[in-house]
Formats: sequence, C-alpha cells, structure tokens
Amino acid sequence: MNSSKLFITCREATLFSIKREEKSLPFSERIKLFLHLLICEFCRLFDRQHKFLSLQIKNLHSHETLTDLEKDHMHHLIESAANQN
Amino acid sequence: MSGEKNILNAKLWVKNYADQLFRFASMRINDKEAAKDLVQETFLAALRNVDTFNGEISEKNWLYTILKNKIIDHYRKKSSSLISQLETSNNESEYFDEENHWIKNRVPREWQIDYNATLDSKEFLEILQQCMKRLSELLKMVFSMKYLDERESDEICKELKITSSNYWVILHRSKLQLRGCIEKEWFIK
Repeated sequence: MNSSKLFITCREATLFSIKREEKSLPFSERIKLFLHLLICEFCRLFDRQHKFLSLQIKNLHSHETLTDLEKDHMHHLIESAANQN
Repeated sequence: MSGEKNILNAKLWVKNYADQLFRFASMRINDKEAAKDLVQETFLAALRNVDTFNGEISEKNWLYTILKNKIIDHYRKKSSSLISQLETSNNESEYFDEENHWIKNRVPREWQIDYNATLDSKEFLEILQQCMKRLSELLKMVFSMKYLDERESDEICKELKITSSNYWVILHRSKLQLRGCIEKEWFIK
C-alpha cells in the first residue's frame, strides 16, 4: 500500500477515525481522513456514531447479582480461611 | 485530614461488596463463572494480605484494587493464545469489499439522533451491553480497558503484551462490530 497517496479507502478511514479519537493520528493522516470524510457520507456517519458509542459506554452499569447461595458459599470460604490464619 | 485510619471487617465483605465487585468483573469478562471466581479469589487474597493494608485507602477501594489486578492477570493468561487467532482471522472483510470500501448492505445508516448527546434510555444501554458481550474475548478485554477503565493505549499494550498494531486492529474490529450490532438491534428494527 502506498502511504503517500492522498486518497484513502473506507477501511483506512474508519481506522484513522478511531485513531483520531485517541489523538494518535499524525497530521498527514488527519488531512487524508478529512478529505475522505468530505466525500464519503458513510465514513462520516461511522465517525460520528463510533464516537457517540464511546460516550454512551460511560453510562453502562451491570445489574447482575450473585445468588444468595453463591454468596453464602463465598462467605463460608472466607470464614474458614480466616480461622486458619 | 483526620488521623483516623480505615479498618477492615472481613466478616462483612461478602454482604457489602460481593455484588458490586461481581458486577465490575462481569462487565469486563464474558464468562460469569470466571467473574465469580475472581471475586472469590479477591476476598481470599485480601485475607492473606491483611497485614499490607495500611488504612490509607478505604476497604472498598482496596478490594477493588485487588480485583483489578486479578482481572489483568486473567486477561494476560489468555491474551497470548488469542493474539494468534487475531492474525489468522480477518473479520473486517465482513464490512469491506476487495477495494476496501463498504459492502452495500453493511454501510452505516443515519440514526436520526443527536450524536453529541447522551441517550437517556434504559433499553438502549441494555442493548449496548448485550452487543458488548458479543465481542470476542480479546476484543472485549482491550475494549473494556480502553472504554470502561479509560486506560491509555500504551499501558494496555504493555499490560496485555500486545503490539500497538494489534491494539489498533482490535479496536477497529470492536468498533465496527459494536456499531453494526447497535444499528441492527436498536436503530433499524
């Protein structure tokens, strides 16, 4: 792949867009991404949507819990380990 | 600062922290049993190391620190075998054609939302969580460290012993998959 070419593929553009989010995209590649996004509406959407998802992930919380039986078992293990010390 | 030091009360650990530690672990590991085992090991390791607890941080934060290290160990044990799979599979080709442009029925579609705002919807977050669960183990590891724990990329590479090019392949695949999954399950029904 010729790294000096000005026009990049969608595959590269999506990767560049992720690197840019992490501020890990060199200046020359930022220009290439900019040019690609000007002409490609799909990658433009990808760019917005994947950043949107990064934002939403911060609001994720799990609601899973352990069963009482599992907790009892754990508690028992700790007690017996503590008694050995 | 007051001179009071935090103290440990192992008898209440399970009651007070088991569920929250389990939730923390199960967000980061696909295997529920493994997540449970890590919580259990955390308590046992804490017991063995009560002497090292200096009371400078809270009991809860101390347990979290132990659990986080356990999770990293768990990741590390698996990452080397998973990396070889990464090199043989090429699942970006699910999304891009031979010329590396979007495959027609995989192109991103407009979601009709404000992309800069938080979407305040319980169902959306549930779907997001389900979609994250579908990421393969290696993708999930890197993805969680990056987006749940907000770790720096070079730290993640060092901890998991992966190259930076592996790291970018993993994030690229994770985001492509996650975006596709969310679009399919939430926006375009």
